[in-house]
Amino acid sequence: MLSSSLFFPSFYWVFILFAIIDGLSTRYKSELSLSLDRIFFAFIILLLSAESLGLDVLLMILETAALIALLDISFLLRQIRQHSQHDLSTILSSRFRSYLYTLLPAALLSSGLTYLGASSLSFAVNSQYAILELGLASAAVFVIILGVARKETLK
Amino acid sequence: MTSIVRTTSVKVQVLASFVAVSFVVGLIFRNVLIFAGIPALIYLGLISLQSQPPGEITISRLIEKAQLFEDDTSKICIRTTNTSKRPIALVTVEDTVSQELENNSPTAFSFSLKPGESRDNYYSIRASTFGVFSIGPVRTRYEDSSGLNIVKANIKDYSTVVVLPKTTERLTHFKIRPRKTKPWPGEIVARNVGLGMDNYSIRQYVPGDTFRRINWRASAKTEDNLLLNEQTAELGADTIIIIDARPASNLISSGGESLVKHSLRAAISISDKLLRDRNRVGLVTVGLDSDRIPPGYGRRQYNRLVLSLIRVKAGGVFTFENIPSYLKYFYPHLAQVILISPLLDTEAFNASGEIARSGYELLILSPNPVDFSPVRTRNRENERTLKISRDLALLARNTNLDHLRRAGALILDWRKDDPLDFALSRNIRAQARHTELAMRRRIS
Repeated sequence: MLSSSLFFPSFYWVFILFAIIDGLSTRYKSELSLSLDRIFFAFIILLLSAESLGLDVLLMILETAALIALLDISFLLRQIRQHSQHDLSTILSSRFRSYLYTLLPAALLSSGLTYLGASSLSFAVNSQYAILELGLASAAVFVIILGVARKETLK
Repeated sequence: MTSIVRTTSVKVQVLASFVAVSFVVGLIFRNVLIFAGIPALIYLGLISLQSQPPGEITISRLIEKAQLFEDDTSKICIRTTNTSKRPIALVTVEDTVSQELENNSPTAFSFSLKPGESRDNYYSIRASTFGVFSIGPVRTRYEDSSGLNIVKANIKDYSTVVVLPKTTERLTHFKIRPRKTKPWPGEIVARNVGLGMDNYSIRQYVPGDTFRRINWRASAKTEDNLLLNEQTAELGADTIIIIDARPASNLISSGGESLVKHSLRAAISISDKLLRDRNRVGLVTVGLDSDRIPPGYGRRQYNRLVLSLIRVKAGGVFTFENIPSYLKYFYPHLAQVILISPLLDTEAFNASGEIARSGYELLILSPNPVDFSPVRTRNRENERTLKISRDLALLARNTNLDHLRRAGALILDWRKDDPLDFALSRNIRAQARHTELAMRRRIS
């Protein structure tokens, strides 16, 4: 958390605040506040990188995917840490394997679709219809996934 | 019995909220954040379509020693088996252990299971105090590899662990001297002729008497008579121990010692001694899960009494009022009633007085409640006040005990630091004085 202030030096106090809340929640074993703190931290990182660093769409999508993986793994480790652990490597590797057919395709699919949409529709769609374009793209992605997954299940 | 709840991970709600918020915030700021929700949305769609509910598991518990002594440890194994044909990515099993069974090792385990695989997880318990304790239920939580489908099961599998007191104090000086005895041999010196050690009288020999008991020296002094030694009979008796474990009598000292536990240890030692002296011993407990055991002999009765005593917990709504009538109705010919009570309230005093007045020989072993007072102070002024209040409490108690003594009860004021055998050894001296007083009263 504190290392994030290297990328956003003007907002260092926000990260110090997050780190303090994280530390206190860990100290007093408050699971809810710890989870909320980390989720908000991830969201603030995304918000700042979109606003301050001026990341493009592709980088934003990749950053989102990476943050989802990081948060998910951190929650998983926290859940396991409370107990006597066996097979930690097996548990983690099965979670990473699940990313291969969920998170990775999601990142690739959304980057691809956004790239395709940006290049092919840039001449046809006005900037005022950008939201409509985004909504349609999202709906289309869902329909594709639904079709692919149904076929997989029927097999 | 198992209660199973199938849920979806909170991850879904968090990701859905993230998608909505990033979209709205992206719109407001008119920046690329608007696209941040897309991979989250697709990820959500993919895991919800591809993930399958995790399989089934069965759990069993194996206990190394179901009966142990205080401060002993026992290993407990939790066997988890994946009965389905799918692997389970993450299984969390947590056993519920009562506070009295301190567990040195964690009772919760996280692991993964292949199809058909069984996993044994071990933890150990240490019995910090005696009693009957239950282990269970087992809480389990298992999920698929993506962590989306979660099954929470509460498996109501209970095991009982019996913790016996480590060492009950072996009493050597404690003896009862009831007037009423029973015809079987025992250790109580009765007031009639029989088999025993002490001489009772000398009588003339009659044919059929054993030659071994002829008093030759006395016989030599007569002309042609043979005289025979007669001994006092040593017989057994029927006794009942009454334990006061009402909430009012359960004081906890500043060191964390419970008065009821203190009384229970004493009851176990006394019942051991009485049974070894070939008396029949019964039990009446007044507390949570009150129990009544009729008098009986031997080790089996001792085990029955101990198992009942270690179950006793302070609490319940039973009162002392009906104990005298209970004794009168069920055991009118009891030789000795032993009451273990701190005698804190008028109810206990009245009931004890009524038992004594009903003609029973009542021995009250009363742990001194002032010793179990949890109040401590460091302030010098308060210390003085505390000392005065303690002295007053002791004075009031002594006055009340004197009233009871006048009703015919034999009372032993048991201070916390005195060993039980020492406290009961005073019983012998007190008994002699008690009998003497009773005789005097009868003469006057």
